[in-house]
Amino acid sequence: MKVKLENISKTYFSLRGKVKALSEINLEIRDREFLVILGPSGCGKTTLLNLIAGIEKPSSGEIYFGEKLVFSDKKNVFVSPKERNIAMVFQNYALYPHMSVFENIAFPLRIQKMDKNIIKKEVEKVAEMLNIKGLLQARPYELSGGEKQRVAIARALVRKPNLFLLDEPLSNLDAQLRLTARTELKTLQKNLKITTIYVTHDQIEAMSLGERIVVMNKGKIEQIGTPEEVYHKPENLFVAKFIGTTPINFFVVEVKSEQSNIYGYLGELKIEVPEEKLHLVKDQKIGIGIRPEDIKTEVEKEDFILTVKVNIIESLGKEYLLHTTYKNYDIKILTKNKFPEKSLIKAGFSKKNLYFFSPE
Amino acid sequence: MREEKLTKVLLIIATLLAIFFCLFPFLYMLVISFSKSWDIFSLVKLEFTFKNYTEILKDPGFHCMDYIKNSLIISGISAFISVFVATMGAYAISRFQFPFRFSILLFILASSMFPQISIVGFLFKVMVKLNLINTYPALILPYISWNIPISLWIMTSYLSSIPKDLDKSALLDGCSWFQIFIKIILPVAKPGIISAGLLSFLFSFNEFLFALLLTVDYRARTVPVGIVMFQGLHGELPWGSIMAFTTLSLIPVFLIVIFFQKYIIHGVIRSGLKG
Repeated sequence: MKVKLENISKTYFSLRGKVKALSEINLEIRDREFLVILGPSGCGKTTLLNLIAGIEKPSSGEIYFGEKLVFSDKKNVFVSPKERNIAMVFQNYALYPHMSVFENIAFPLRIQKMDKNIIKKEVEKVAEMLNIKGLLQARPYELSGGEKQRVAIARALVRKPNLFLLDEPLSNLDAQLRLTARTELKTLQKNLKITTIYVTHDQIEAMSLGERIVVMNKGKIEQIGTPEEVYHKPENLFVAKFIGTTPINFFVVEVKSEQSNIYGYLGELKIEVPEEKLHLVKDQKIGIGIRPEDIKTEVEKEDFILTVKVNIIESLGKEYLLHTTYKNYDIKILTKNKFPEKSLIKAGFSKKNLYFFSPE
Repeated sequence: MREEKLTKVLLIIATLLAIFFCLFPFLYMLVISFSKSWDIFSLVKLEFTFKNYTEILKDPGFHCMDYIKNSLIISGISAFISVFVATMGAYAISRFQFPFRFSILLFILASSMFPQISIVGFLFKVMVKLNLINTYPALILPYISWNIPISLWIMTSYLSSIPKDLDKSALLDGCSWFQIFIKIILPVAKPGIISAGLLSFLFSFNEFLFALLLTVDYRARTVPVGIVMFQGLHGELPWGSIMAFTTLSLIPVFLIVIFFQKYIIHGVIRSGLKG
């Protein structure tokens, strides 16, 4: 099922006054797509999920499920969560503690007053699919984190929802389990072909799961794109900083014009600002970004070469993260070679890996 | 090793002392109720007997069973209603956004801080006007209003500790607000409801002032007042009978607490494993 959000805004009224949680969100989720909403905590991503689910009402805007209008402030339309046929998995799983696993999974069907035999069959089917058949008689407090999560997913899927919402479902699992759960989740979604919206603050999770990623910050969408697009073509500094295991190096540099070209000066390096990026220059300054993995310590083929001082080395297993300084700039470099601390080394990067941003 | 053992022994001794300190009055009560003389300090004279019990149970003039029955009914009904109302109120306060939520809570608590004695005269007048003196409602109604604030506070804090995601999840599973309350919140809050209910029950069971002034005879009189009425009945203090009656009236309360205790403990264990 396709989902469309038009100009969705949400304002809360609290003791502190008006708080704008979401402003002017426009988003289209394609049929059968796995969409990930990524952002730091407090950026409004869970609110957005609640609005789609119908747990909360937007302050303004319209929401369409397929062709059907499910919310509109102007036309005064609000379809209750019950009638939207969506399922949600919560961060803390929200299993009903007083019911057995079987009762938990059967609950949505019980509320619909379905026939007992059909309920039993459906619950067993979904339990089989998620490998929790042996746990049906257990109580939630007897389960491990991973098992609880499977039960929560089973309960969500048993109703055959049109839309599957996941709110940080993996963040309570330990690192090992998170990896396997991630793969399983992706396989499950591929097999069931349910339109899925997945909320997370973990960019690795977002990159590995999402067909498209929506990067959000402070109640606004910063960029929508495939994992490759948000990684290689970040539209702004926030996206560039948020995506990537080690944060991007970012420098604000002076620009000077020389003949017909404009150059940014990073210490002694003279970096040409391409014409299509000239609009980013503000007060004779521009922001330049380069990812730590794009800075090389074998410099033969690189466009720009500089000498940096190694301050600290962090071992990441297969690579090292060097914290270095060049003039008064801090530069992080990801490399396979190990260097002694306090040594001076050569580092280089090429023109095509540079990102330009406005200076603030 | 020796030090550990010593600590253990000392700990046990301290515990036993504390238990003895708490239970001594009850022990005193039991011993006196089963003995001919009521002077526990002259142990020589103590003689075992059932006389105290047979006496008060045989003579219908004592109305022992009436008092116990009255107490159980009045305390039971007032505890049930006050906890029911308080739970619904607590659900609203913990789940819905509306202005002055916290002020309402404080206001209700403040209203329970009036000393009982300050309103008892007025309460008597009201009950006379309503023609309720010496009936169950005469006590049930004030007990309900006296129990609601503490129950509301217990239930509000308990319901606030239940994750809101449970509500959301139930909402998406197709429940209405009322269904969420009945099918999810009430069963999950059972330990809190039982603690609040027990506290309300015990308050009503032990209450003396209202019961003394708003009841006249065995048709509505409760145990605490009944015990007091024993005094002077024969121109003396019949300690043996008083203690026997007190022991009898404690049996149902004791059983109720024992029966519900496992739910309270169960609740503690369950919430400890959440997450």
